[in-house]
Amino acid sequence: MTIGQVNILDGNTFVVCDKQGDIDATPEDTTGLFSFDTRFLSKWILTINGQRLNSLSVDDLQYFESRFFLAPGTGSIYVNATLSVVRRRAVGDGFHEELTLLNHAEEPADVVIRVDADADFADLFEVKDSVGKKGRYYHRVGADHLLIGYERETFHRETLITSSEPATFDERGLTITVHIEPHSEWSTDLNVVTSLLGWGQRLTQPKYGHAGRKERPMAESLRRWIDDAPRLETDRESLRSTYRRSLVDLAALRFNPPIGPGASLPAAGLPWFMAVFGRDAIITSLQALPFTPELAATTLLALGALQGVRIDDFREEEPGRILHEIRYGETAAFEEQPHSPYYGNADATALYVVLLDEYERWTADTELVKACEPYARAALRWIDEYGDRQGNGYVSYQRTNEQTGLENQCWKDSWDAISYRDGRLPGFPRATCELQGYAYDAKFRGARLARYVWGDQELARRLDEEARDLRRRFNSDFWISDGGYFAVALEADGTKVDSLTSNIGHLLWSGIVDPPKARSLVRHLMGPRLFSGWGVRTLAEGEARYNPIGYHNGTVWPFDNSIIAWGLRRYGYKQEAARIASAMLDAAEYFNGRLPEAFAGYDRSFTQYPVEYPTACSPQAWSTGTPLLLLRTMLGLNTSGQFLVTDPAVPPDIGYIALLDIPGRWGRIDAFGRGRPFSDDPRRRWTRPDRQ
Amino acid sequence: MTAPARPTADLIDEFFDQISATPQPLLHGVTATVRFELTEDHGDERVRLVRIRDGRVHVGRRQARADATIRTDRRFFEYVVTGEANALTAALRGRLRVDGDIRLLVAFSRLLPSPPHRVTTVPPPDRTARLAAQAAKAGGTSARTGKVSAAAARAAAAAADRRTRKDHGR
Repeated sequence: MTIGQVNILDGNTFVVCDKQGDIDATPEDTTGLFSFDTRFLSKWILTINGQRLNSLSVDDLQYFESRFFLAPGTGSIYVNATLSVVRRRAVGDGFHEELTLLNHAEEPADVVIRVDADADFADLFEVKDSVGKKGRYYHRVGADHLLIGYERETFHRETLITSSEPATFDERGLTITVHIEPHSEWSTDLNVVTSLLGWGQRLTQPKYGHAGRKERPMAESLRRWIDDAPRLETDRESLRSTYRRSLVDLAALRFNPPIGPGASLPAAGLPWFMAVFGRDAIITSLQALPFTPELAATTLLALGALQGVRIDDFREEEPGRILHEIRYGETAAFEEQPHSPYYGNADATALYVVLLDEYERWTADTELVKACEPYARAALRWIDEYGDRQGNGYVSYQRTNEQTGLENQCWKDSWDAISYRDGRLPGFPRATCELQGYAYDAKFRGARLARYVWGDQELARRLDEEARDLRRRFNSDFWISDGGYFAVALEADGTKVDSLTSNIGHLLWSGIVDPPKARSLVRHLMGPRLFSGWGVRTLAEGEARYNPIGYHNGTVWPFDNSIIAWGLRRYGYKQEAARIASAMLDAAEYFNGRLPEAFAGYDRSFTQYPVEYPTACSPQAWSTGTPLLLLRTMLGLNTSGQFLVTDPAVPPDIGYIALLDIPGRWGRIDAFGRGRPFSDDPRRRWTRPDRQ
Repeated sequence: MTAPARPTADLIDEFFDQISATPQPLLHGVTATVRFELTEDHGDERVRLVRIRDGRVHVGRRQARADATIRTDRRFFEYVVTGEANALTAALRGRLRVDGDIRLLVAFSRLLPSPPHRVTTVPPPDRTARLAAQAAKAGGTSARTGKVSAAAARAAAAAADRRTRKDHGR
């Protein structure tokens, strides 16, 4: 995000504005009030007696509420003003703005307040170029309101603006003339309500119509959210604040999709990804499982309800496939973009089964696991019937929507993310290695669910057998023996795509790696080509496409590192997992506890501080979940039957960690760990693998 | 545009017959009533009350309370039940209106067939004539109903096509 921008949000409604609270959108300045992937206000500028205002300070009261303290006079010259202006804004179905003017003078003040308002109804996919809309705008001015609308055939989006104090409305905003006595104040409530006609009657008052005057449900919900999560005690101050930041951001990213089960799941990231993404929701739910298991429950139900059932090449829908992304904007509505939902990913379907099993291990919520049984069975079928596109026993991808589909359908989804060492791009279909790990883990865990929860021994036996077979083939077909690592992908003809990538860390997490091969993988992951000092790079230094600021070609992704740390723990490399945790938590300090989506892959000794990737979203759900998963890997939290087991490996720069009231099938339980020095002495290394 | 020939079969009632003839495992766990109000060309309203009870669908014709009401015109709904039009984007466009629990539109749409065309980047225009021709062509029999809808036939064809491509590469 650009510095100086203020974001507040509720669900998929959010405001991006400047420090005065103004919105003045241009192709370069993507401010606005956004809801359902549509910009409902592209202009919202306050002037007092014709003058823009100076920002004195901004209070982010809550993630959904901000207060702007302003004074008349613009530019660098501060006018000794006798008038203060306070805008207190809360987001709901639109937003509510309490505008207060305070006259500090001995004389009465006669003031003309003007708010210029407009809405371009740009789709999120066209905010940088909203010219050439195909529909028609309309403005309706009433005695007590201004309605700005957009229609294209039967598609309607509307913004309604009202004021609690009398105002004069025109097509371009509203004007209020007031007389304020000496040492007095005056106030009005401005309401901006968004409407999607045909989607439900949403023309009501904003949710928080009286900000500051009574207990607001969102404040209550945030407090409950934080109270329900485990309490963290540690001597490392920054870890405490990072933990709290993660919980609050996760609360902000909670998203109650209108077509979901009526509870919240994590959206992918603010501002451009306040939408449901299958992969991001699943990974975030996995990271947060020991802290807020209800996110996983909602994710499983919502993604199940939207699971693919038919063949649709435009949406890349297939029976059993878990969705990639849903959007509600004009381009989705008119099928100019395929997000209704779009299913083009090759990993979320297997990860769905992984999450379901992990959820059952932690919560013993067999009711939900049985409710999701048909979804999980369909997902397991998808892996073999559709995921295995070439009939060669490996999951691969090739888009069926050539116009607007994604070329790379794994988490590294930029067009050039999968390459050979010499920079060549492989052909399609592509079978990336981590997809095989996820498929293996899904079968392995699916077998456990079949055996113990669904009571289907036949399925359990078959899945176990398939998992073993996949593992055997994978360890020979993907292994690059002279390099000592796994190829990032196989081409259709079986050629190994030979670049060294962070994907090998995901393989450890999935457990598909034969133990004798793990040591060599760990050497690569912690070696200078992949490990920057801040974390593991997406692509190793020295590969042709390596670029420390290339989106998936050399940057360090916190979420990626949290999965790698989990994988290291799984194979017994506690010290290496602790090293990654330590580096990530150091990096988080530079971002006030909020890890960005990605940061540059420069060597730690080169930059001294982590450089944020230029256009990264923040907060980003799976970056927000990263410190949570790292707490899990540092404490070695795992389930074993009815019990929570801990096996701490806390880095030396942390004295102690106490995580209290961890929820799970055991009720609530505490876990403790103390920092231990790193050691090169192999006898002092922790090498006992986690129980599986 | 010339007036299209009326399809001989009523695609909508055929679709409702088909979904109520057999259990619908895709609706497991769903218990709800959805009312469809479809405006005919001459302005009358065709009402269908779809009761879903854990994988069983019953379609009636009387007015009753529903958890969601889905409204559109009969012509457009023919596109929906044959897979030509997507119910969710139609709702986003306001082409199909949902009052009540929007999730029931998602649940119901699980019963809709694959689109008959392969890849599209535009929403279906008024292709009534083509639809009518396809409906006339659609034949085949099924053990239960003695008849298979155009939608089912096309879904099967799409699946077969996909299989073929899978087996022989692209």
